[in-house]
Amino acid sequence: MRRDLVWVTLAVAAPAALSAVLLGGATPLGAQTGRGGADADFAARVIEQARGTNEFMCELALRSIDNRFGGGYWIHVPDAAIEQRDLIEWVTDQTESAEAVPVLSDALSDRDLCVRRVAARLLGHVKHPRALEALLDRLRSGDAETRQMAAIGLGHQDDRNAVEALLRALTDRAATVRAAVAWALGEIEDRRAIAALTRALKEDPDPTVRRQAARALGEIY
Amino acid sequence: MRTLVMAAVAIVAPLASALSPQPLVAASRDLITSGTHLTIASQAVDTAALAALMDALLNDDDPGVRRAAARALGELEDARAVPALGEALQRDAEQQVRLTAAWALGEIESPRAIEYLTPALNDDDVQLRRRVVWALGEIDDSRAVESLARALDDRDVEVRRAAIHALGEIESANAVDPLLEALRDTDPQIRETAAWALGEIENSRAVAGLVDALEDSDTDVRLMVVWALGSIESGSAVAGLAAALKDEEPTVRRKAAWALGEIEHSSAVEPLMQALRDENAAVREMAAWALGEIEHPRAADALAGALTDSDLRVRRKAIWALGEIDLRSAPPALIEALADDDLFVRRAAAYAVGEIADPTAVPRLAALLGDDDSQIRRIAVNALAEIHDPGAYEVLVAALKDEDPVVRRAAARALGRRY
Repeated sequence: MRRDLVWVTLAVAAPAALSAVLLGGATPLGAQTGRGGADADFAARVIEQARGTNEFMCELALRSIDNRFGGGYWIHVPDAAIEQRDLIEWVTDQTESAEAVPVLSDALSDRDLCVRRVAARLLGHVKHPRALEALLDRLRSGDAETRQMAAIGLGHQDDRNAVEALLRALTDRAATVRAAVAWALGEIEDRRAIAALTRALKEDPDPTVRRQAARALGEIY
Repeated sequence: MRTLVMAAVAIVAPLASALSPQPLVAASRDLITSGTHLTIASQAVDTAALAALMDALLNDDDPGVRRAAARALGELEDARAVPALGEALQRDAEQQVRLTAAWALGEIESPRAIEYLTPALNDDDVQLRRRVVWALGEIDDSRAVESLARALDDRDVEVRRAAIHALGEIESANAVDPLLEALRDTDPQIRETAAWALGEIENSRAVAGLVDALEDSDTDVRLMVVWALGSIESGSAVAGLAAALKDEEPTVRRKAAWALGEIEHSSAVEPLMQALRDENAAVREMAAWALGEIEHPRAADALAGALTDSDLRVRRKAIWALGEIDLRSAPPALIEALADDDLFVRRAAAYAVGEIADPTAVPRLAALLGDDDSQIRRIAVNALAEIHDPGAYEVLVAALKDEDPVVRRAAARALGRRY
């Protein structure tokens, strides 16, 4: 399961990273995708592929996911990476079934960073009430890194129903969580967040939080 | 630095206290830019948030926060942030913050930013100077012209070019003199952009300088200069453009013919008639077009001569031009063209003959009513309707039996109108 992919160019590396990280390259998981109970299994496998990926490759994989969901990143994923379609189709299906939500939700607390990040991103793209519910639940986790990932997922969900919970989390004791929450509020662009973000910009002791608060205030108007 | 921070707080603090309780109804930007922008009926920028962002921009210890604040202020596009951004542009210790502040001032597009942007044109950092020039162009206000004119002396070619481009966008007459100077720059791209800008400004004061530049060694520059002269449409450019009709480059000669057609000055007729004999067909075609625009009867014979041109496009254009000129009688060559092999030539000739309304053309027009092309028959009917001649009457009556209803209708209309 080692993925020591050689750096060629960004454009080539990105789809390669997505295939390698999420689909294991050699074993096309898409072939085993089924309906019903298979969704949870598929989610578990996808998550497992991310384990142990270094930061750079993980970032490329995340951006490729966003690219596939119209996130507007600069990476063009060519059709050559055909297996990715299975992943996209699968995540789209979750809008109706949401069977994979518990698996992805658990993965938010995984000890592996890339697993956590991939799970947060995928949960963010699953537009299902249960995905939102799970993320809101994980935002109250005892573990700061889980709360941070949940906030990122909520930013990708881009759902106004998350605003009040995020506003409460803007006073989280962990700066990493507060920064992610400020970012998420900038993504959701709800004017109810302006006052709290203004306060964070003025008073938060952590510069990353202040930076994200400033950015978010520029997004909301 | 201490006093500067105090000054910045003095700018920010009253804004915050005076405006914070209730949101503003109208976006202040629209008032400040004197109505050049449409009023946007969106919600006003939150005053407390604005004040906090300005405060963070000027006072936060972390450069990343200051830069994010500058970026956010640019996104919000609220002119109230101009003084704070101007302060950051001039005083921030971090170049990235200053660059972002310049960007934000360009986004806000308020003329109030000019006084802050102008001093930054002397900055050592070339990236910042380029950004500042861009911002001045975005503001699109004649008061920025003086600053941009100064940037025309910049040692960086990109700064100079961006400044010229901005001046072309602003279209102020005050830019003419500095742009004429740029027309003598050592860099051909600069000269070309300067010619473009002068063509955009369309001020006749630029004509003499542009005519001089018709001697430029670079073809692209000459081409743009010719375009600019055609755009300005001044009669004093005719002599220079007539000389450009003899340029070594066919593209320049063609463009010169176009420019003379735009200017529509009768003194261009002779040189254009000569250009009808240019070795290049594209030049001849444009010369015919220009003579049609000028509509001077003196060109009729030369245009009639062009009806036997080897190039089809030239023949068509010459026919069209003859129709434009107010002639009392149709040249024989034009009447001959009514029997040309080329459908488009016949159509154009029928149309032109109708414009001239020469009775001697009636038999040939009558013959066109046997043409296979119904559009030609219709044009011929309309042409005959213009001609006061008994022969035309009979032909029109016959056309009432045409197989094409559109032709029959045109004939009926012509008879009803005339008889």
